[in-house]
Amino acid sequence: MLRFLRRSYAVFKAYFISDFIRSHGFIYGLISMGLWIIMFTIPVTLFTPGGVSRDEVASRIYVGIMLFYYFSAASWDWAAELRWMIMNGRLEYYITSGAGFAPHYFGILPFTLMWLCIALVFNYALLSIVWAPPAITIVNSYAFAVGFILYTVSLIGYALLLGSSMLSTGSTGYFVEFLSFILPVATGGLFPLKQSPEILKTIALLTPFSYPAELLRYSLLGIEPVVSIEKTILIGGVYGALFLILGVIVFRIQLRKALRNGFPTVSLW
Amino acid sequence: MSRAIEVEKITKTYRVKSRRGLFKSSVEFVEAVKGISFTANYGSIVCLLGPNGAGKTTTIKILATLLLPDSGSARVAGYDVVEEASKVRENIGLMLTVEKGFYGKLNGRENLEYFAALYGLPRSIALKRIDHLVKLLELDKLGADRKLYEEFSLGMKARLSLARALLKDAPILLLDEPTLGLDPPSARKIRELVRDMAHRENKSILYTTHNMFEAEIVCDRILLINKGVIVAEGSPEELKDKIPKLKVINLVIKASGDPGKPLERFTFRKEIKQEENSVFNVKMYVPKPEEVLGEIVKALVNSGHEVVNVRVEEPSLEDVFIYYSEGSI
Amino acid sequence: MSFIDILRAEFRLEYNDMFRRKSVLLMLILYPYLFTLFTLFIGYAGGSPGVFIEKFGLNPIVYLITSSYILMSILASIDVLLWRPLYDSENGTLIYIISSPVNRLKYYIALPFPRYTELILMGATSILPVYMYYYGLEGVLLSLLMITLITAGCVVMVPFAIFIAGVCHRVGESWRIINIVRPIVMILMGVYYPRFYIPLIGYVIGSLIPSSFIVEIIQRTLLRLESNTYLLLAVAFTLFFLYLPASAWSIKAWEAKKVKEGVKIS
Repeated sequence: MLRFLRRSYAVFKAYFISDFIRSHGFIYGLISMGLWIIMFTIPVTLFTPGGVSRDEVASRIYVGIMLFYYFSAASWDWAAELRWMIMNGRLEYYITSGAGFAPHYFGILPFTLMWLCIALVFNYALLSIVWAPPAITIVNSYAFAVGFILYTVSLIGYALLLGSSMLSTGSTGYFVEFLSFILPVATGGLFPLKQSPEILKTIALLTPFSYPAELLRYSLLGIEPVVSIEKTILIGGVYGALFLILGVIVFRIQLRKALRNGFPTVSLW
Repeated sequence: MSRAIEVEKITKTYRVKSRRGLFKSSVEFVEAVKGISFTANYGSIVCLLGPNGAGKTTTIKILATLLLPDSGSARVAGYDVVEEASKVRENIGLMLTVEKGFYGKLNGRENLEYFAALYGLPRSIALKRIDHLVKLLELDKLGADRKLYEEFSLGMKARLSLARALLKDAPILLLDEPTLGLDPPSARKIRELVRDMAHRENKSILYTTHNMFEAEIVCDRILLINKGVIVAEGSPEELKDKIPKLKVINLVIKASGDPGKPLERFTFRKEIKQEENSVFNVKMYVPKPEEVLGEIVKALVNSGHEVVNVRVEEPSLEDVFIYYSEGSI
Repeated sequence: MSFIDILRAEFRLEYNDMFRRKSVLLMLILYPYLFTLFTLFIGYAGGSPGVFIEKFGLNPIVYLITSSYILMSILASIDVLLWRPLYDSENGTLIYIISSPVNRLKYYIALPFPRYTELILMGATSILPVYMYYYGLEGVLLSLLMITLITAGCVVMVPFAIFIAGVCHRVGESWRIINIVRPIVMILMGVYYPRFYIPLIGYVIGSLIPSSFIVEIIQRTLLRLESNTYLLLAVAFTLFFLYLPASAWSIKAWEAKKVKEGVKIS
């Protein structure tokens, strides 16, 4: 256990010093992503009827941004880091270290959470300037905690699935970007499912992400999920756990495939 | 004592997509390794010597548990590379491409600390070991323990890469072209250290290179590999002795015209290289130079060429390689 | 080396790359729809498409697919200029470009040409079917007009993009700066949120970007608002010519700095 923690800490430390302290990628990435998000979200005002409070609209956008950011972290930090490791020639040494991939994900997670907190503060400020301050309070802390944990579990499963495709095929950046846009949309991450068309509701409820997303929206905005809270927690929990197990299985299979065929070469994009 | 490395008839075939034009593509199967077998003992350096694409890196990767063989078996430190990969990883130090494999924004020491933690070394041991390696490889003198990796020269990168391979003090080292692209002083330093590791610390070292000169001075045993097959093995002297007893007549000629014409009647293998304007270097591989040297010189002089220098030499390792890969010298 | 020679070489490079990486081709076709869906469903977070139709008399899908097409087209054509020095540096080809006698301005102006053909393809797969669905035959003509305008929008951006590229690549980790510049340019151009609705200061700064005028023409046409089309076009093309000397200087200065530092492979 101590070894595992030491290894995870080594990954966290390397990542933190390299990406946050020394390369400022953290800051630049934050600014860039914040600007793109503003570009895509401000048109929501074209859909807003008069008489709806700006704070309320801003809150809904903000929660959507939060869920989108966490989703993006799973794509670009957790999964795509494997592409960087292949490109930089570190992956082979990582594999022969015998550490396994658990320390890799465990080590990056705290860094992601740190980034998420700072990004949300930044976007709060940006949204306040451009539109209105989001009125966010935690209405139900239990739902928030459960929703956050379940969302994390589902995203780790997703990152393992995506990461496994990186290992075996060296998926292009376009593919990753496509997924990181379409999945939050399809899984009800950006808007309350109660307000969405039936077809989208059906699709979203087939994915493990929408249950914790609904819980988080309920806990922060008070918007009731489409399914009862108890059911949301139960289905989200079981589904998330199964999704994680699936991710682990597929990752191991793809890793073996990469060991059989050789690791792919990947380009910058 | 058990063998450090045992390889028995391993094969590996890659599936490669090749594209012709914009739309056509086809799949080809490239046999990188075709049933090679060899062993390596502790306290020795075995060299896999061959040209690019011979199968050296594929073999190293199989032994490093980075690639699964299609058939055959391989054992490292007594453990099977497929079934007991985790045990193999505990017993090897690895050095692949020299110019990457580290975090660009970490300095040399930080990179080594990171890998030491990944290898599971307790912190106190890791720090002592890193201090020792930094001094041994002169990384401190080059400032490599403080500079960011992205600012390293190639020589510094090679040293850091070797330091990582030595971090665990593993009994077996797998080094893939460790001096590729290095300047002579850096390359010499690496070679000296490698020889030390093997003979003083009783490590088994598998060393790949395509440099004949390097193979000759570093390795105790050489495996000549070409197109996925080991074509010959032995010490450098043994390999040279194995080829038909040929000597090399080396002539420097100031030629008026084509120096090859008067030599056409001699059917021995020749290499003619133009050095300067009218100066040529001619090598001829003959079994009994004393019988033909006089006639060769006569033929050249009679054709109006001036023979500036004549030497008779033993065949080099390069000649051995050419013999085994092309079937004759 | 004539401009045609450079064009020929670039077409070869671009098409080989695109057809040998089918994912790139696929993304070109899918991305306008992807961004449309993304923005549409964000709209659900704040209101409904019905409100949009009430406000503007236009289906939001038509508006958003056009905006997404504008975004992808302009990004596709300026990205090849913004990222090329970095791409060449990563590949190790920069040393050969810098040491070649090719006229730099001609070279950089030629770079986006293959992309123009790709954005025509993108228009045919994105706005054309959507316009046809909503407007029938009139939609075909409208989409052709839009494709022409957007192509013009991409052309007038070239010197501006070269200028920005030369300035940005003078700093270390320039790709991070460019990743900030790109969204700022898109916001100021009013790609999704028309710039004639943003505060005056934003409108003025956005007017420094040549294609912002063409984007304005497109949006006013769709929303059936009055616009002085010829004036806006004239301003866009005037800016194109005004930026040309700045772009030549920028690239020359960047190259001089590179040669002074020593051209490395990243």
